[in-house]
Amino acid sequence: MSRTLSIIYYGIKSYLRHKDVLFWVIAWPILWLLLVAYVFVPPTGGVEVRVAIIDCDQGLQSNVTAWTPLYSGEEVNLTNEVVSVFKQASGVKATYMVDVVGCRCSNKSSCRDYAKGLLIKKGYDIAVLVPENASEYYVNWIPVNLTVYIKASTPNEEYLGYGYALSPLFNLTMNSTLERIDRATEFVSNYTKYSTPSNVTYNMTGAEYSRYIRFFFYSIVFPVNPSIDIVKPRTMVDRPGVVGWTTIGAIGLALMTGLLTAGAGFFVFRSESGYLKRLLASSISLRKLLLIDLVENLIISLIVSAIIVAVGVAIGARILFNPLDPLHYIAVVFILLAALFAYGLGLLLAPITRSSRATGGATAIGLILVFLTGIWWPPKQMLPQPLRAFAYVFPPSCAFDVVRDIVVWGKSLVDTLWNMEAAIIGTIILYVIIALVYHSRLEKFAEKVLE
Amino acid sequence: MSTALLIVKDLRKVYSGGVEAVKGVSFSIEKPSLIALLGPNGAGKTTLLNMIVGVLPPTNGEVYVLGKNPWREREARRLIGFVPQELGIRGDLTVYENLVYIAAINGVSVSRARLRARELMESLGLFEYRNKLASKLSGGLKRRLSIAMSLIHDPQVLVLDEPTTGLDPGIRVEFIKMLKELVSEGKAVLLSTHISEDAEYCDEVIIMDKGVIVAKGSPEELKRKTVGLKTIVELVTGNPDKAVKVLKGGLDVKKKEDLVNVYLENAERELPRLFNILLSHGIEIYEARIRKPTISDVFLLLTGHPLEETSVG
Repeated sequence: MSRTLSIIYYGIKSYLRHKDVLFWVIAWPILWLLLVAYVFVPPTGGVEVRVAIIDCDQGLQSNVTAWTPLYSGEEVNLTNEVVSVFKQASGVKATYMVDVVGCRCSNKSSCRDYAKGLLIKKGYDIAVLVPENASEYYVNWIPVNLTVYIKASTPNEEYLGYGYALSPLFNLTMNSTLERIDRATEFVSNYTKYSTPSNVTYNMTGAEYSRYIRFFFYSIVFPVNPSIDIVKPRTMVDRPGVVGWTTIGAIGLALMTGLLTAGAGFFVFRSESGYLKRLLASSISLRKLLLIDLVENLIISLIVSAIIVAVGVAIGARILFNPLDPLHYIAVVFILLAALFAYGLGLLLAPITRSSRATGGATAIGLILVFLTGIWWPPKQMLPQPLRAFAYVFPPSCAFDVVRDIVVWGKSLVDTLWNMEAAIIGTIILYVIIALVYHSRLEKFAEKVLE
Repeated sequence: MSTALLIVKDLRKVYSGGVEAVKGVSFSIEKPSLIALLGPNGAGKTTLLNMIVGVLPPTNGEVYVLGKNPWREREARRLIGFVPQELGIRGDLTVYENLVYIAAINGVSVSRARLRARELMESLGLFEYRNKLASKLSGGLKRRLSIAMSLIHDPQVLVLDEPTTGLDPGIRVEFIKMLKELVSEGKAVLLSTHISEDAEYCDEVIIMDKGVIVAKGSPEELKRKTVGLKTIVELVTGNPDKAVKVLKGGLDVKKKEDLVNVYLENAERELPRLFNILLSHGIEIYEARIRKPTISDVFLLLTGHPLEETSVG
């Protein structure tokens, strides 16, 4: 036993000395993890949208008081209102960086040129022109025409800019409409205290009449009131979840490439330095050596996984691990199961892998599988149908989903039963195939590589 | 079964492509000695050694090391140490780690492996490099490490595949001396080589060509049997082909590359006659060297082609 441990110990030591391997197995997945965590789901809240508010109204400091009887001495500055709705709209998807710039234009054409300069040269994504007397019109219930300029260097940018600009301005319009209705109906309520309008056909109190008028106006604003509930895959619900999901994906990226390559290179990695000959000439059997190599690689998988999880947690991943909860150890078992599958898949390629360079093919296969089975982005729910069906039964993908269900989403064992079954059954089938392929042929494969 | 150190019985290897690399080879090593397996590249030496040590399964034939067949009893492989041509060291482990690792592979206990590693590092001059990565060692040190790794489990038979290839002549001699020390410790050392000078230092030489053993014996014995007491006159002439044709009638002549080797019983007496024949046929003689026969001459006489020439198989 101590001899076997000695072989495993030195095997792992030698593995960890290969800087190129460490790059692909540790640095590369961590790089992707950081990319997702800081570029695609940054902690500050989505995309940064730069907005320029062109203030052709009376300037930020001077407010306007209404002269209509409906506003009783309240002061309004529309530029401030616009700035405010954009700032309030900052959230998970986008952070609005709002600047108020002076009015350096006098007519529609010069304003367009000015706004164009702001978008193209100054790097703004959206420019909103608040026209002259806008506050006065606004406070006195006269329609105000805001002009919104959107940078659209690409169709995608146009589409996104449209959404980013309209959403806050829609809120401004809607809120001010509702406020006006409330004020107007309040006015109606006060006047109907004293007389019922002649066109009211049945007896109503002033308050009832006022409420009726309010709902009537509301129905003009919202004839149909759609409520939008965005249903996202759980993967995308919140940042800790996204980073947690990605952390397990990064482990998948490391193991599916690293272990598939290790399995495929079982013969050639040893044969090129003459080491395979030395091993074949020794008293240890190739079968035992293969088993030791597998154990060695499973231990390496755990080390790599621990490093990636540590990085993931450090950058905000939700990874639940309670040492006293046996369920959480099942997650570890399924990481090993995925590693076992990847190594096994590599072993099937080993007899036809005749040089170290050829193991690059195994790495490529690992990468393709990682991207096409929902182990890494995109999640399997987002894959096109034939691939999605494959991803739902691909054992390592199922194994990593078990891990995610347990340590990221905190699900129970029953909730992840299908994934567990698929991962276990798939891995057993693979090893039955390996046993059939390798049965009494292990030495022959080695001989072929030496020839 | 005999307790000879090594018995090779009718070994034959046919590769999957149909090439018969070794065609029924038999020999034995009865006592600790240094034996050279001499032959040109492609003679089947590496294939033969690979079958002896357990790397390649023979198509036919058997191998016995101290009466045990390493192909039937895996444990018997502990009686053999093997130094592959590519050295078979792990560049990503240090000298010490390489030794302990391969000891574990060969079933040596960890405590024994540590002790033995230290002994071998000291005796082979590797101790000061013990913590250095094997990939950072010089070629000579790598070779020593490779031998140390083959000796870690204290085998009775050491097999080395082309260990002197690429070494300077001076270092080669030192290396052979080191192998002789192992013989004095009671081990049989079988090394393959295509360099005839290496064979001169060995106790016994097995000459192999085209997959078969051509001759076997001590260097002196082989020379006596094939060349006899003759002296070799090495001639550099204007037309070597014509010279061979002219001399062949009355003398023992062989062409070796551009040289003409003439084997004379009494060089002093026969040289003038030799020159006269060549000159009378208008063949110019640029140089004539008189020397003792070598293993290379033995090979040439036995196979009809020089050792450096690559044969098939």
